[in-house]
Amino acid sequence: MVLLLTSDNEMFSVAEDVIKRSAYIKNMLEDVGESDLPIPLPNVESNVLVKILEYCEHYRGEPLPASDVDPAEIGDRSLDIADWDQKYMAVDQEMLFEIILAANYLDIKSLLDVGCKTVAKMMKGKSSEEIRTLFNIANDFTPEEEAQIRKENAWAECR
Amino acid sequence: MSTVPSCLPNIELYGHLSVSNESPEDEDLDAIQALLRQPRGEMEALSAQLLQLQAAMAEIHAKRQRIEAHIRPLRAIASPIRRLPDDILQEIFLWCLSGTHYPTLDPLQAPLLLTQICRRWRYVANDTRRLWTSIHIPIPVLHIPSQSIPLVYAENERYKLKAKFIGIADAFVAVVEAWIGRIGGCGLSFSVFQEDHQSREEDACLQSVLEVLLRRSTQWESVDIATPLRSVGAIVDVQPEDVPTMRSLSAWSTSRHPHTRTGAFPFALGGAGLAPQELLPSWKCSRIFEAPLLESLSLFRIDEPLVVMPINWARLTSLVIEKQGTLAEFGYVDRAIVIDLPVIASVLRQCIHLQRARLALTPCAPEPPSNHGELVEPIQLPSLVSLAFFEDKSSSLSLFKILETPCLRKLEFQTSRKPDPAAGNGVNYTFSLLPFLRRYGPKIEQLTLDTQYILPLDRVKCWETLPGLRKLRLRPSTFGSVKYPGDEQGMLPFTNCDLRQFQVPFSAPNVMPKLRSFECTTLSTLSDRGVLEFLKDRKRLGLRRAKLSYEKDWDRPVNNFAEEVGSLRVGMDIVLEKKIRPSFVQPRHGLKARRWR
Repeated sequence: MVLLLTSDNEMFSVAEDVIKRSAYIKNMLEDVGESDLPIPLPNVESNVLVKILEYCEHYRGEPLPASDVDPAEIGDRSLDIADWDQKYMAVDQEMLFEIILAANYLDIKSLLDVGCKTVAKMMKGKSSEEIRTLFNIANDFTPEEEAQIRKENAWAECR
Repeated sequence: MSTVPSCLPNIELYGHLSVSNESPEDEDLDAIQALLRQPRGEMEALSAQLLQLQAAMAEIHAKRQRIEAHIRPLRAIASPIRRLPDDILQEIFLWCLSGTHYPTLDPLQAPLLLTQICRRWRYVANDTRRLWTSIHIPIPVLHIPSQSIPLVYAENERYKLKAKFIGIADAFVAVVEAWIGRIGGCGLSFSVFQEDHQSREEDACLQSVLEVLLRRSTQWESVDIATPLRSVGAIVDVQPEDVPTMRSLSAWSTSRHPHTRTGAFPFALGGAGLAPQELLPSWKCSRIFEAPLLESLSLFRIDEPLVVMPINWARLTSLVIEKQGTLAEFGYVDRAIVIDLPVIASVLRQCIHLQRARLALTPCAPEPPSNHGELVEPIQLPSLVSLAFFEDKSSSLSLFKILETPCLRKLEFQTSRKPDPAAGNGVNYTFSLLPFLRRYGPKIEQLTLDTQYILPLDRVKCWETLPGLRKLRLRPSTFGSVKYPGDEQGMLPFTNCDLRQFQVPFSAPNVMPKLRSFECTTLSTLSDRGVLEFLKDRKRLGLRRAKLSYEKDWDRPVNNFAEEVGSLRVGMDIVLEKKIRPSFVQPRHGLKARRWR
C-alpha cells in the first residue's frame, strides 16, 4: 500500500497497482523504494484525490500508455469520449478543472486527455461570447485589439 | 396527501343532487347557499395569502439577481479556468481542432476563434505552433449576379463588385500570411482549392496565396493543390531542394482551360488559337516530384504521360491516379496520356514499397493484347495492404493475373464492363477479378464491389474465395467514372437469391464465416422477408453491422417486421433504408400488380 497526504492533511492508503497509473507516483516509488512515509501531494485536495482514485480504480489492471509517445505524433484526435469517462466527468466546472490540474500534476496522461477533451467539447459550436459566458471569462481586449480582430475577420464578414 | 378541513360543510346531504341534473327545492337552495358562505370567505383569505407569498418570492428573486450581478466579477476572477497553466490551455486548444479535416480560415471555428476570447487566450493560441501547422485554403469566390443587374448599370456594378472582391482577397491573403507566420519552424500541411470560374480576380488571389505558401516551401510536409491547371505554374516550377521535408503531394486540375471569357471548348479538341501547351503549365517535367522524402502521391486529372514523368516510384508508399484522360467523356482519347493496363503495369512494377494504391484506368482505354510485354512477368508488391481499382469497360484480367500481393487485406474493385457472355467476339467472358481472388481471396478482410456488373454465378464464385472476409460492401463506385448511355439495360440487381447464398442452409460449407459487417446499397430487388431471414441467420454466425438499402414491395408483407428487426438490433447495428426504385427497373403496368394473398 502507498500512503498519500493531501494538501488539506488527509491521509489516503492506496493499492500500489492503482496509483501507479500516475507516472509521478510511479517514478517516485521507483526512485525512493519501499517506505512507510506518506507521499505529500501539496497541490491536490482530498475531495479531488477521491475523484482521481475513482478513475485509477476503474482502469486498474489495464495497460499503462507508453510514456515515449510524442503527443504530436498521435493521429487520432477524435473528441469521442468513452461512456464511463463521460459520466465520470459530469461534474461542476470547479471540480472539472481541479481534476485536470491534478491529472497534470500527477502525470496521468489518459485522464488529462479526457479532461481536455471534455472542455473542448463544451466549447464546440459556441461563439466567442458564449465561451466567455460559459467559463466566466472577461473580455479584456483593448479597443485597438478589438479593431485588429475585426480587421482579421473582415474578409469573412464581407463574403 | 392533504385532508379536508373540518370547518367545511358536509355535502353528503345533497349527494343525490350532485349526481343528477335535477333542480333543488327552494329550501334546499337556501341551505346550500348558507353552507357555501363560510368556504368562500376561507378561499378569499387564502387567495390574499397567496398574493402576499408571490410578492415575497418576487422580492427574493430580485434580491438574488442583484447579488448575482454584484458577485459576477468576483466569480470571473475566481473562475477555475484562470488557474490552468498555459501548457494545459494549449492542450485544450489542440483538442478543439477538427480531427477529420484541416482547420479553415473561418473565424467562428478553432483556431481563429480561440484568438478572440480574451487577451490571454489570444496570446496562448498565437504561441501554440501546432495549432497552425495545417490549413485548408478555399479561394474566395467573386459573385457577380449578372442576371439581376440592369444592362445599363452592369459594367459599373461589375466594377464595384470586383473592387470589393479585391479588398476581400487582400484581407484573405493577409490572414493566410498571419496564420503561416505562427508556425515558427514547424512543418506545414495545407490544401488549396479553387474551382474554375474564369475569374482573373480569383486567379490573382490564388497567386498571392501561393506566393505566401512558397516562402515557406522548405517546411512543407503535406501539399494538396486542387486548382485550375493554368494557376499552378509556380508549384510546377518548385525544385526538389525547395521542398526537403515534403512527404505527400496531391495535384488535381479542377480545370484545364486557359483564361477565356467565351467558355470555349478545350483546345485539345481542335479549338482555334494557341495550343494548350503554350498556355498552360505542364506537370510532365516538374521536378517537384523529385522531392527527396516524397512517399505519397495523388494525381487527379493531370493528363500527362505518367511513365516519362520524373517520379521516384520506388520510394512511394501511397499512390492515387484518377480522372486521367477524362476527355474520353467527349469521345476523344489522347493515346499519349491514356492510363491503360500496360501503363499501370509499368508503374506498379517500379512501386516496390507501395502500401496503398487507388488507380483508375482512362475511360475507353483500349484493351491491350494479353501477350503485351508489360503484362507477362509478375508484378511483385510485397507491402501492398490496400488496393482500389477501376477498370471501366475493358477487362483488367491480364493485369490481375500477374499481380502478386501477399499482404493485401483491403480491396475495392469497380467496373463498367457489361457482364455479357456473348460479348468479346465469342471469347468466353471472365469476371476480371475472379482469378486474382482465387489466389489472394483467403487473405482479404475488406472487399468493396458493385454487383450490378457481376453475373450472379460469378458472385457466388467470388464469395467462395473469401473465408477470411470481415467486411463486405456492395455499393456503387466511388470513382468518378463515366456513365455510358444505355448501360442500365444490362445492369444486374442484387436479389434475395444472392442474399440466400450467405445463409447456411443454402451454402455448404459456410460462406464468409468471419463476416462482421455487410452493406448493400447497390442496385437491388430485395424484400423484407429476404432481408429478415438473412439478418437472423448471419447474426447467429457473428454479423454485427448491416446496412441495406432496398425496396420492399416485391414480396408478400411480413407481419411484425418492425418488431422482428427491433429484436435483432440487440447486439447488432442495423440500418435499413427504403429507396425509390430506379425507373429502368420499374416493371411494366399490369405486371407490377402481383400480390400474395
